[in-house]
Amino acid sequence: MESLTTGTLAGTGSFRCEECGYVVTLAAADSLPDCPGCGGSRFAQASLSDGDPGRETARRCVGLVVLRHRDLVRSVIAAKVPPGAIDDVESDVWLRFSRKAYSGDEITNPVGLLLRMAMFCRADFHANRPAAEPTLGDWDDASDDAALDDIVVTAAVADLLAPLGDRQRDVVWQRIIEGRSSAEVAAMMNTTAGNIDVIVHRALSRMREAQP
Amino acid sequence: MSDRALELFEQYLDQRASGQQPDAAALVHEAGDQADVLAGMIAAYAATHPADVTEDQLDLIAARPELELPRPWPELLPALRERTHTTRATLVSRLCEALGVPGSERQVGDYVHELEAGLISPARVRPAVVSALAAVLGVPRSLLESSRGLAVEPPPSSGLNFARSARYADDALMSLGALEPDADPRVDDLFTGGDDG
Repeated sequence: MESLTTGTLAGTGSFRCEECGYVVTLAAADSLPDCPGCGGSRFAQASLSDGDPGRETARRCVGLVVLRHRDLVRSVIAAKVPPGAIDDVESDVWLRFSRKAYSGDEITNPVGLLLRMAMFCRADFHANRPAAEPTLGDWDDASDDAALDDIVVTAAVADLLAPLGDRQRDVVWQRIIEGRSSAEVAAMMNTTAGNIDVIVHRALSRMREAQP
Repeated sequence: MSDRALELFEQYLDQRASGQQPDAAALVHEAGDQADVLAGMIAAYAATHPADVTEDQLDLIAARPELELPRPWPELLPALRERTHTTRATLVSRLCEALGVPGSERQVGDYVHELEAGLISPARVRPAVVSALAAVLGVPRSLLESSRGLAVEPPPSSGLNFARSARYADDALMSLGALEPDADPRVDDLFTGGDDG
């Protein structure tokens, strides 16, 4: 595990001194102090499940899914939430996702579930609702599970691209979703890179107009 | 290309391609009135291109308390105190400070004990107490919020009732109790005035 040293802005969490084991807890804006126990300067992230391999394995499995899709969640949140609140709302998403994972239900479409949870959490933020309190039971409800599992990524992307015509959709898909360059897309579609840029520009304008 | 959303999306792709970890949220905010469109593009791209994850990143994320298995407050609060080397006295003192009820340590301490022992429902606690506990224990508020609905078997109460009644049956203790400050009704409300209260 990576060592963190005194003075590092390590983010919210707890950190165990590598010399004496003392745990210090930081808020987001705090930097790591010298260890209050021994004066040491090297720390590792502390875990609630220290010493329990089963729990640690479960956390790492959930953590892997979380990390692989973090950009998805943060971008969805950031579209509607001010910068100072993003980390808190993101934290709510991870909390809900981990609770769902630990419920024992199979998660067949984690991306769709995360997308839905991110939208719920940002809605909770604007409604000033305590995010996770009323929903823990909801996520454990079988009927809700079925609804959540029906959400697929392609549907979410299709919604996003719905306002576009067929050619615009093809271009945007190749250019943005597939990440190809304008020249590559132009070659595939027998046109020029400049024309692809124009199509993308118009498509983005249409998508922007279609946003509620 | 003049479109701001596309420029920032290119920046996002370039950073990912070069092995960096762009902050998707920061880029979305940078897009201003095009934030929705950029968010949609990044979300769509990220959904179909999951990020690579290193062992170090996994170690860090796995240590986040919100990824912990859910536990009811009587298990969670002592575990969080132990993790942060926070004694109950320290927790109580900092709670009193955060809640603006200095001098009510004994009363707050009793409630903290009852919460940790499962003698009162966390659902009765006011949101201000949840926020204060989260701040003192260094965890997201939502972790405590989501856990306070988890049921815990109440322990047998007869012994505790006996102990409490015995305390006030003792004349000497009664006189000592009379010297203690009166219970602050604000503290009672903070710890029992919530949904179930």
